[in-house]
Amino acid sequence: MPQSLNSPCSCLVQDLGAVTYDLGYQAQLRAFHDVLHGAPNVLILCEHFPVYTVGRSGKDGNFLCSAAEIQKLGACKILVNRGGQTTFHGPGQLVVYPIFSLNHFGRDLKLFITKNEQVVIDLLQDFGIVANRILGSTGVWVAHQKIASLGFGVKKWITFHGLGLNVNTDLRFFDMIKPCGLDIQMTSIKNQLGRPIEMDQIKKQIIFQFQQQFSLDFLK
Amino acid sequence: MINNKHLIVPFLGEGIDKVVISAWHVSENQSFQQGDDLVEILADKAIFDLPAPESGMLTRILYQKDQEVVVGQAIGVYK
Repeated sequence: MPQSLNSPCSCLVQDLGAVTYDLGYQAQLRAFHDVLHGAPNVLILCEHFPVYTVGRSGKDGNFLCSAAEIQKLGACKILVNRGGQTTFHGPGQLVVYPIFSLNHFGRDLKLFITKNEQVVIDLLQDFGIVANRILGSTGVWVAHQKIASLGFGVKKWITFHGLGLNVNTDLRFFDMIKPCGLDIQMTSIKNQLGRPIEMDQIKKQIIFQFQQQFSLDFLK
Repeated sequence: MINNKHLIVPFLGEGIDKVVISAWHVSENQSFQQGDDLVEILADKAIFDLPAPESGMLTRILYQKDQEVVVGQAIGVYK
């Protein structure tokens, strides 16, 4: 039965550190299995080694370079089972996979996505960065530059995949693609502030913001 | 056909009015168990696998892959 969005629910945090995309996905599958069998929700945090991921709506035209050029960058290309088009994950980008049962959150997918955006918007506000949504373009934007991309999967009312927030990301990797299929520029916290930020600081802040937005009770 | 029931695109939140069917996981005349993934739909920036509300057999697919449908619409028939 769906529960109220405002009742607290328990959640575990898993910080994987820097991992391959595949290891991150395996962690999602394990967490998904646990949540499906009644375990607490899981918030997975990680950074990935350079990888371009193509979601269900992705198109070949999203790539502005050859496969050889991608390889030369030390990156690879993977088709993934999430919504959205093409994006990049790499060092300096915080990737968050909320493996949450939507039964705890009113089975409201749109609200879940909106709250994920709000997590990022509120986090950025703490750093003095004014970020917003753009109607019809899911994600978080600073003026007309995108700072965080979102793409999810939902099975049996449990979410997987998540969001990528550019913290200290080398944004040149995005020059090889049309991020999310759009002719846009990406930005990062480092770009906005003119200095790099410790990833651990961002991780602490994002855990706090998830707690606020989703009324989570984090388990030790 | 008193036992026929409609498979409906569920409410997924205010603002998600239309979705696209991206894959059927079951074929016509195929049986399924409650909770099995029946159909994958694209909604906003998410793919959503619609679980079977109860056990049964899919008797008719009303909308095919890549077709756009609205929330609340019947996309299949089962019994």
